[in-house]
Amino acid sequence: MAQTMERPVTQPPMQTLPPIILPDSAAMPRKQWTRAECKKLIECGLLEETGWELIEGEIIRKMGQGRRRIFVCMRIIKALAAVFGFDFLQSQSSLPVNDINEPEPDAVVLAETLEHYLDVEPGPEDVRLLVEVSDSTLRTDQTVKMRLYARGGVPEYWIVNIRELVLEVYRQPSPEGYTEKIIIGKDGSITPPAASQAQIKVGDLLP
Amino acid sequence: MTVSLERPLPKPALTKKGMAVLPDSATMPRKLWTWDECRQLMDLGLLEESSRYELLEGEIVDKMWFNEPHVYVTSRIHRALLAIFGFDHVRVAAPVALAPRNAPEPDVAVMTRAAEEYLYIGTPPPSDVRLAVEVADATLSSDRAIKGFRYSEAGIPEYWIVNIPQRQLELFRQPAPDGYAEWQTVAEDGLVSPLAAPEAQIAVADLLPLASAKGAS
Repeated sequence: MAQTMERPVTQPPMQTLPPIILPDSAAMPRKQWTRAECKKLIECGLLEETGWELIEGEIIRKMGQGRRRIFVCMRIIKALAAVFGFDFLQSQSSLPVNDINEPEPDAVVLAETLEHYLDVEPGPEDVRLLVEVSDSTLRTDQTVKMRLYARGGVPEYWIVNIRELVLEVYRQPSPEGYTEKIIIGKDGSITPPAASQAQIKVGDLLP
Repeated sequence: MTVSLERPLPKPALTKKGMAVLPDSATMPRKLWTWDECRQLMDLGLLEESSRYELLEGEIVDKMWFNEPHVYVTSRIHRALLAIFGFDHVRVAAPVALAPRNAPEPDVAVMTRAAEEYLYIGTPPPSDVRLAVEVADATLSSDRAIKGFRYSEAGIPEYWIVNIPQRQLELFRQPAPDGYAEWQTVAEDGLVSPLAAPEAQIAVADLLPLASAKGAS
């Protein structure tokens, strides 16, 4: 069941950091949007409610899920629920990081049960573990999102890499990104630091 | 003096829906917009400084022409073309509604109709464009092939790129669905005559910044 939560001590000062440049946005910058503008776009019917993420001010369309990804997402939920408790999980839900970032991680372990977040959206400071499932999105998950989550202070970030069938574990967030990266094959297992007694078999997270 | 380009603007790879993919939108696909939606965004005040942007392959792209050589060259082209075609027929950085998801803004365009007609008919269709001119500096190369292809596909009879770093004018004619069939470069010391005014002549050097100002930005 759920372990004692460990919030990051301080939030890195987002405003003072240089922007994370999306691939090729330096050469061809796109219109930048804020979360507030996206809300207005939705109200005006100019943006769908789901199916996109706001990353560094750009509205990124989410890739089609595909049966393999759906299968893997559900396996992850099952494995995390066994360790943390189902009530602490959210999946494919938006996670506001700051004014110009609102990703939708595949799975998130929250500090409190979902009931606590009925009126307040959880932010990165409420996240104990964040998981993305990566195939075609691998490169951006390893770069853009990795830095974004690290800057937000998410203490641990996993990429379930279904292209290479490994689990990538990122720890020690810093403004530059995570300073620790561990790659575990499908025969290995992982102990989430937010649940130090538990072990998850990497094979249980992969297709 | 004219020299052949090694190759014309290549036809970009298109998706099943006929869209070209802007740099890296293959791995991080951006939200796509239509020109109608962009006009709604402007009406709602959600596209502030809308002249900063143009709609290219469904993406709202920052034109990024906040550098002095670009501004300078654009105004030189404007001056040269309005001397030939008259003030009412030359537009600067104004959109052309090429297709639902493409409304690029040529830096300068020569139009068939007088400017005030567009107050009534709205954004011009490509059939109104006699000549589209883009200013190219080092940062603006990635969209050139896509724009050139779209101008050609839409039947715009002539397209010029005033290439600042290479100090030449690149000229494209004979629009076809696969891109312009005819092209040439005109060096700095050459003259160019628009198809729409073959008797007129413009010295390419008159469009470029002084060579001594090359490094400015």
